Amino acid sequence: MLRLCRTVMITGMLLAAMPQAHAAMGTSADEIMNCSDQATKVVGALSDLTLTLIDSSGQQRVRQLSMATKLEPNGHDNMRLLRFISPADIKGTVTLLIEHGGQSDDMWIYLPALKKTRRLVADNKRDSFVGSDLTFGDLIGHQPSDWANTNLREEVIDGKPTWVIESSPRNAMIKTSSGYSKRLLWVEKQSCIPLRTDYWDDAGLSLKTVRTSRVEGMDVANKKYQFMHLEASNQQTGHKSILNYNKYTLSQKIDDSVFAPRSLDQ
Amino acid sequence: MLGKITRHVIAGRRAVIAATILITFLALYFSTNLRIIIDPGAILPQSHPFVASRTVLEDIFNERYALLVAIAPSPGTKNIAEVLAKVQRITDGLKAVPGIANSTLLSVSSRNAKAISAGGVGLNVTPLRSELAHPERLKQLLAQNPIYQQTIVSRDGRMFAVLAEFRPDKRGYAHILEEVSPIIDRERTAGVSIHVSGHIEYLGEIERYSARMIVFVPIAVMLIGLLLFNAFRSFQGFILPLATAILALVWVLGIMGACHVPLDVFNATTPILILAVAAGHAVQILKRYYEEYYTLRSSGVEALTANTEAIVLSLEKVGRYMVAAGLVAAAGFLSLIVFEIKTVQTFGIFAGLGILSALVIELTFMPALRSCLRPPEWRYAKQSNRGLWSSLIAKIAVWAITRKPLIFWSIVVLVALAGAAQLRVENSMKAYFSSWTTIRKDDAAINENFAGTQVLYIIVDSGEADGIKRPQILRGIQAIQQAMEKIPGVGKTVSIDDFLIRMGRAMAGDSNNDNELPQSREIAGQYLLLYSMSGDTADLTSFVDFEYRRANIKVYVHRDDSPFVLSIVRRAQSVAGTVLPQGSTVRFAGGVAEAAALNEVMVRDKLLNMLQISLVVFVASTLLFRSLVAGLLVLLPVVIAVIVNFGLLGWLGIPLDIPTSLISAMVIGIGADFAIYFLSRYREELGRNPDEALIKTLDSAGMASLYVATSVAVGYGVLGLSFGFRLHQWMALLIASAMFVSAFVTLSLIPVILRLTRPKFLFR
Repeated sequence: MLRLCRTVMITGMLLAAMPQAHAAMGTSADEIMNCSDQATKVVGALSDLTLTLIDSSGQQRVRQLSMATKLEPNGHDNMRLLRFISPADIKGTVTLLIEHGGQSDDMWIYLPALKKTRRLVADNKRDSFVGSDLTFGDLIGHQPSDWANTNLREEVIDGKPTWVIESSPRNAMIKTSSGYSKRLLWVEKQSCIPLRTDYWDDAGLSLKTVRTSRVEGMDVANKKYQFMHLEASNQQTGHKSILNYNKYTLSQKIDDSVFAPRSLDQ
Repeated sequence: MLGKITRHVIAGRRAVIAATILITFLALYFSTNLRIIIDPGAILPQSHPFVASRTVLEDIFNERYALLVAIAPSPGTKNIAEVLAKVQRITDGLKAVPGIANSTLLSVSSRNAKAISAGGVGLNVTPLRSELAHPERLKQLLAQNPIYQQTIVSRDGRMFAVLAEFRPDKRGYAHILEEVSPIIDRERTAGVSIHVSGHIEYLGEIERYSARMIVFVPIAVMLIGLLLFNAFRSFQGFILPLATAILALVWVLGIMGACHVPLDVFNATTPILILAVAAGHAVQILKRYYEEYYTLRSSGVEALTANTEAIVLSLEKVGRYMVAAGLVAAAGFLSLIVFEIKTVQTFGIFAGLGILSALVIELTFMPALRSCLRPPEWRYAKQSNRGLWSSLIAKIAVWAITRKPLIFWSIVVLVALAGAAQLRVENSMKAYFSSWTTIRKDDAAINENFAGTQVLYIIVDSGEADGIKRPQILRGIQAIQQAMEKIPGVGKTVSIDDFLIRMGRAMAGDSNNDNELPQSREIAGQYLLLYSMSGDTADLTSFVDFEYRRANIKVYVHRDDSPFVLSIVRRAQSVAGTVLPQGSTVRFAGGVAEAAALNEVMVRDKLLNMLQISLVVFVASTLLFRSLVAGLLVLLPVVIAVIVNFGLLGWLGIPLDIPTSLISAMVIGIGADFAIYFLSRYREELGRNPDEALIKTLDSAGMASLYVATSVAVGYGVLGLSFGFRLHQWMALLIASAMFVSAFVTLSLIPVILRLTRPKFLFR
């Protein structure tokens, strides 16, 4: 009888541990963060988004966008083309972001009113992503090796088991370029998507909370997942940004020419 | 009737004293509920358009009251790097101060300060703080971005400023300064000078200086007591009038606490009025008590009986005039609740209830207490009228039976009217402080190097979402800015236009210096999108709202006086009417606008306020003496006191502002009492020869008025020693003037008029 009980308990524990084994090879903080970094990187994707920006007094700006993403041959950096569909005065504006790993990324913008493409040279990792409460760094993803990660505990969020990871910049340069002195991530065990991330600014003050939901498997065999809803709340400014993916499709056939600066006016 | 009541009070004196003590403790308990409004914005008439604008300014643009910290290397030194390091530490330190609007914190080290410039193939948006380690590069970027010139960097590029906006703190503005000061003070090192100014600094310093009242009022009370001791030569003379005054003050604070009537900073001086009026009534009763006691003792009545009878007689004979005078003044003050400005309402309630409390105490507690005290020593009672006081009264008596007072006061009134003609009606917080104070020196240093220490906000509402991007609206904003910048005293204006112009230049490769605005809504929209992508969502919070419906023009000004601010407002309104399209509106906000709003309303309301109290005093006095002439005579000392005060303000160049006009209103409440007591006593004494009646009246009610006027004037004269804070010094001057003028007009001019006119209500 005792042996039977022990067998049942061990079997139960193994079953409980299975999703973790599925999501990440191990449960070290660095492995979890690497898994998280890779989870949304797909060969190519086309999506339609609605970005709603809400200020502290409740005023809103609603923007419809379409986005094309393609992974560069290095398997890590992305090319992202973002086209504004509305409102009317910015319709046709296109931005192009070419990531360059640890170096400065390239960014171009096409302004239809001027019929000109301009290159933006900005400290873009910490700058706002199209006026939202997310930074380009948040969008691109923070290089896990630049951060000292600690697996603090396990918690359940919205019925989903997560690892709680504390992530701190390894040096002052990373802190300055990201704009963060600390992040606390609740990484879903199954998808490696952070369901919640708390951020502290470079002065050590609580800055914002980003929550994601409606996580869908895009290519589960290759552990690729995508959240369909994101909500970022800035505690310092009272601003809020809501990003909804209305459509998201994987595509392996996006031509490189789409991401050429000279063709932004197409 | 009052005699009977007094006998009942004396019979139940222990119960009366116990009840008074109980009420006083209850009042002390309820006074802990008393809420004090620190925010001047909350005192403004809520229907005023500038007040409505405040909500937009605060909720939409995150602006409220500014604090400005400027840091410069000492003359002859070049340690700019050290200055920049200090700017960075102060900026970082201020971020954590409660109540700060972080999105509007601006300095070369703040996140939202970004230089826009042309890059090799496009647009550069560089956070200025990334160049703090390279002063020369920073200087170059600042030179390219006129938005920051004279706002966060001085004309000569040596002085750097940190601009912060704070929301009101319930604990007051001095509390904000307490939080901010350590951050600034630890940067005050050799070789660097730091100056602090802005609306928050002024409000905080007014609070700090006003706290001197905690020291000055007790000194004033002691001085009043000592002078009364000198006058009466008795311990009762020293303590009883003060006890009445202090108990009345405690009671009224308790009533206000229990009824949730809030106090405000402008009513910090109202206790002076209550103390003066309450002590005035107490002195009249006490003076009469001593007279009756002396008469009774002289006729052989033994001490204890004489004491009781003197208490009864004094209240019987003077009490009804005290009640009448008190009710007249209380009615006058309480009638102020019809006014729109909260501070005036509070003043009316505070003063009115204070006077009523004093009456109740003087009719109940004081006779009960006096009957418990040992009767005065015989010799003290005899001596009470001797000394300097008697000789002064004698001189007045001699003077008052000639026509000289008529000539003298006519000249005084004419000279005062000539001064009053020069009276400036204006409110300026800067003027509250002497020019040698640190706050004024700091203000001057910052004004010399920057666009101004005060900001007026002009909010342009296009009437539709994204309307600000319309070229017509943008051109309208530009025209308003150009008109503002032509006004002397305006240092600079900054708006969303300046950002768009700068972006346009950068997009054109910085090849020209044109002030060209976007030619279409699309260009404006795309520039703004471009900027939002390179910066923070909150970068432009101060200048345009989230829906691009409203824009905020910041007008930096060197002056804060209300006529100047109102002249800017009028000019902006007139320009906006011609340059903005139909459907768009402008409104004005900010600390200087609010001060101007308050002053604008005050000019009208304070005059009405004084007229209203005067009318109530006149009607009530007319009814009391059943004579229109008596009503006019009671009003005479008050009117002359107000004219003399306005004359002094005019001749001395002191503005008629919130505090000085409040003191002027106080004068009416204090001044009428002297005449009521004088006329009632004169009527009582008229059974004999009019000249003898006059001498007797001057010697009794007149002497008591002299005691009160002198002690209150000298007592509050101590405020003249509040060095650096003109507000207290003006108060000392105006209270002394009001007390002396109303007392001396009563004692010298009224007798002359009575002799010349022989009014029927006296000479039947």
